[in-house]
Amino acid sequence: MKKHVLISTVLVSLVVVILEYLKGSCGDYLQDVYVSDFQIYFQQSYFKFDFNNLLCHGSVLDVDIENEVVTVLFNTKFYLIASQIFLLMLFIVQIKFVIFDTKKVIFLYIFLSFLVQIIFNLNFGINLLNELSIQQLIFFISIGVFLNENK
Amino acid sequence: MKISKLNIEMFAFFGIVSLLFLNYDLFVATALIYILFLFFVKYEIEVTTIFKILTYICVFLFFTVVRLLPIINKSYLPIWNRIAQQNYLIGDGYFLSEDIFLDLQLTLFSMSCNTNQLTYKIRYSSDYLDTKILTCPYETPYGNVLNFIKINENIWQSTVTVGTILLFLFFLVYLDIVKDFEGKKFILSTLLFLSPPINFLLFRLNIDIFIFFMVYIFIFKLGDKFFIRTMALFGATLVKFYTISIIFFDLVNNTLSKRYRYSLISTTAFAVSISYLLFFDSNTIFLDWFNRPIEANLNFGIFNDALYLSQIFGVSWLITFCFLSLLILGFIFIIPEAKISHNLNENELSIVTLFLTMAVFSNFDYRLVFLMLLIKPFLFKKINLSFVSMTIFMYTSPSLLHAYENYYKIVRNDEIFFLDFSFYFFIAVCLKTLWAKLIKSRFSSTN
Repeated sequence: MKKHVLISTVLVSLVVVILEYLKGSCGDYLQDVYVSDFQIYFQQSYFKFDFNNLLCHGSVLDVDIENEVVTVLFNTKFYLIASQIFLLMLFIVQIKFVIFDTKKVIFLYIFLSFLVQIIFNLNFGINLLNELSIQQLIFFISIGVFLNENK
Repeated sequence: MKISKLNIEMFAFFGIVSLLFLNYDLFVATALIYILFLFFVKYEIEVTTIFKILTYICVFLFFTVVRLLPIINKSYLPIWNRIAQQNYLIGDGYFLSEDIFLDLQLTLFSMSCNTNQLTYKIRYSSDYLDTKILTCPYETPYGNVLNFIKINENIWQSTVTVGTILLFLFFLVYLDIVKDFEGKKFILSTLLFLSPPINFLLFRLNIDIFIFFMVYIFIFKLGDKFFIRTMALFGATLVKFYTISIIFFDLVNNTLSKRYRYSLISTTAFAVSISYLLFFDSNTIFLDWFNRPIEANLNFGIFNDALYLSQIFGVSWLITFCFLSLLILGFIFIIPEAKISHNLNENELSIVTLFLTMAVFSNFDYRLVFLMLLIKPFLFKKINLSFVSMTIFMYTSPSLLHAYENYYKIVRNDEIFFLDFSFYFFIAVCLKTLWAKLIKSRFSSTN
């Protein structure tokens, strides 16, 4: 029980630190500036080992009120790998090599999805939770639980 | 008192079903959560007769009445919009609410061009869409055989009449499939019939719904008459080529089962179908639809995903196709055979083959209607991995992402690509099922 509390505290602290860092260094995110009916365009970023650029993925670069367009810093490849393929890798490793009980599987995926969303999914997206990773999460949890059952 | 049997799960179910008529996007999100709940709870839920009747009424209203109301009076058009997902309506972020039975209107107009040369404005009620004016000749991307069918009717009236019949027939199919289920199985199978791909089909009334009825009647109801079955499949293949995969399945299955007479019939039907495809130029136009990228918010298919991935990573589509094939192989490797459904008969295996064939190319989501024919075998015993993966796949096609207007605008710009793992997992489940039932079982029985 104490171990769980310790781990949870560390994880929550980590999330808070990342959020604060993003707020301070990256400017606004979509959830701060988005106006309904605006089109969203992405400006492709090329990270080239720039840590700031990487963490600011999803931050707003420009809001064009006249043309109703919001431009966002984005890297399609990185987004795909971080928000989707990373969870797939984790799923395969967990299924083949680690045997968790159901509660631990659910906890692990929820935490990792949140972490991925904070860093890469437009900082919680336009709505509070970016649905894209949530959807993958639903799949991985339900399939993971069914595969783990009676293992 | 029968009413006392209603428990909290049933109230929750009706609450979710009522969202069908208020906001379909919200229905999908809440239904998915409810489905997960049903998957994981160990206890059974009692479904009373009253509960079943109320469910039938709701489904009937959703399948037929709310779709016909805006035809009767255009002031009901907002209802039509509420039962639709955003992605059904074409136009960059703009809501084209008037696309009522659009595909059926286009098909009927195309066939009317075989008789008369005229123009037609797409209709939605008592009004026309001035922006959508069709002129003859108008070719739909279907088999060449449609060029020989002549109709000389009022297109809008025909659309309404045929559409109404199709909606009623589809409700009868629903009744036939779910009537024997009880408890959680009844609720889950009903929710599958309310899933986005089915709603998409009833929204557009694409000609695929005819193919579905042909398969349902001639394979599942009259399947023991092999010649009639093959002729019906051949007829369906003339309209849309993909049913040739069932003919091919019959060919392989009959050969493996040493039923050579049937095998000869299937071989003939297969050969004639291929000749038909190659003989008419217009058929190749129709085949192009299977190998060109369609917007990710409307379709499924490995080839389609491979094209998107090749654009993102700047590599050949062949490489990304191989990567996706490896992903399926990986899933096959981790799926235990004991956890998939083994209760499929030959008819149901042919549907699995049909799905796998379609899954290779690009297909609109409404073609997933054929998966409804797998509900019975998948729910034959307890809820298993086959049913779970199929349900999640159906409810995430298109992804919930596309249901929300804000995200939708991003996706329409094709800048976020969504790799649907549930799709690849379900392909793996189907491949493993086909392997176990068609090949492995014969091999082990001969030993």
